[in-house]
Amino acid sequence: MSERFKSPQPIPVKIVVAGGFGVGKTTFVGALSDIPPLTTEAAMTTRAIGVDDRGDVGTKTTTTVAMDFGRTAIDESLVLYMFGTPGQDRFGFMWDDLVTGALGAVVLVDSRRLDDCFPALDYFESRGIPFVVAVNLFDGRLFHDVGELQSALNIDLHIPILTTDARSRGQVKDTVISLLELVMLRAEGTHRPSVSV
Amino acid sequence: MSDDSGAPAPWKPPKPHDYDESNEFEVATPRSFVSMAKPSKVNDVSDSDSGPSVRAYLVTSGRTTSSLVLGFESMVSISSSAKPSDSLRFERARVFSMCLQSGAQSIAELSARLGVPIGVAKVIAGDLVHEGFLNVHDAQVDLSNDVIMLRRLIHGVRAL
Repeated sequence: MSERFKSPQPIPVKIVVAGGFGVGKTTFVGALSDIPPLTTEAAMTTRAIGVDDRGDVGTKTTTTVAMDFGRTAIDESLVLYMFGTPGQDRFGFMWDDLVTGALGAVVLVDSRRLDDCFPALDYFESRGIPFVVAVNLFDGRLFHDVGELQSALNIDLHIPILTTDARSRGQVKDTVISLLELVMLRAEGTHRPSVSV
Repeated sequence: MSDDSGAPAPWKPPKPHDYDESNEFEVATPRSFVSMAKPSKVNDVSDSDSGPSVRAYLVTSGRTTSSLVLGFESMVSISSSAKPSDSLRFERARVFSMCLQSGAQSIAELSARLGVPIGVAKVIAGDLVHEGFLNVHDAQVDLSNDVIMLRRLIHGVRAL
């Protein structure tokens, strides 16, 4: 058994992949994972919106959310975990427990259903978590050009908007690298306090 | 752990006010374990036939939080001082044997493979760490400010 302990200590790294239902998060996660995506569930504290107010427990509640995630060995010790999480549901997006310690997020967008990604954008913006917007091309088609998307999504100009194909390992890699480069820019540049929870 | 008490207690739905907001199972769907069919290799789980339908709450002795702060991605591996112990049962034994067979595992992986919510996996793994069976591996520093580590990560992803 002892040879097992000679390997370096693993260092987990977490990235969150958010987006609306059916936008391709699990496909995206699976494209880079060493293992077929696994599913787990966790209770998330959320803020119910309007119609969901039950009156008896105030505005906060928890809901059980299923998440798919993948695992990728990067080198002898770094292990990348990518968690795909629905960013659009009636509860909004209040997933501090999941996002704590994440390096950043990929917000996956179906350009035919832009609104689906709004809660995720709002969430990551308000928490100061670095993210890139990746438009998943269905059938290779982009329904808006990137400039239109930028203004439609109303996001800062420095936030990268890319196109990707969640089925393509190469393109998923490029998307993840874009996110990591954004994180790197922040680390090298402003030294702004990172997200600490 | 008091998970050896024989027949599972009847489950009652938790009342929301009994829990604080960080509670992981406030409205989690109660589920029974279906995962005890295979006795672990490291343990002779002699009572594995006696009743597979143990509630998640029973396995964690009703606890919903671990005293250790563990993330979804926190990894655990067998401690070098750990010896397989007959005292491990059920999910605890399975976690130990998963780590033994497959190396370090994240909380999320344990949760998925055991078929229990993240919070239950945290409690089980947290206990095993406290008892010296497992070690925790987390990023020791905030990686988002660690340029050297980020460079290594980017290089590694490119090379995939």
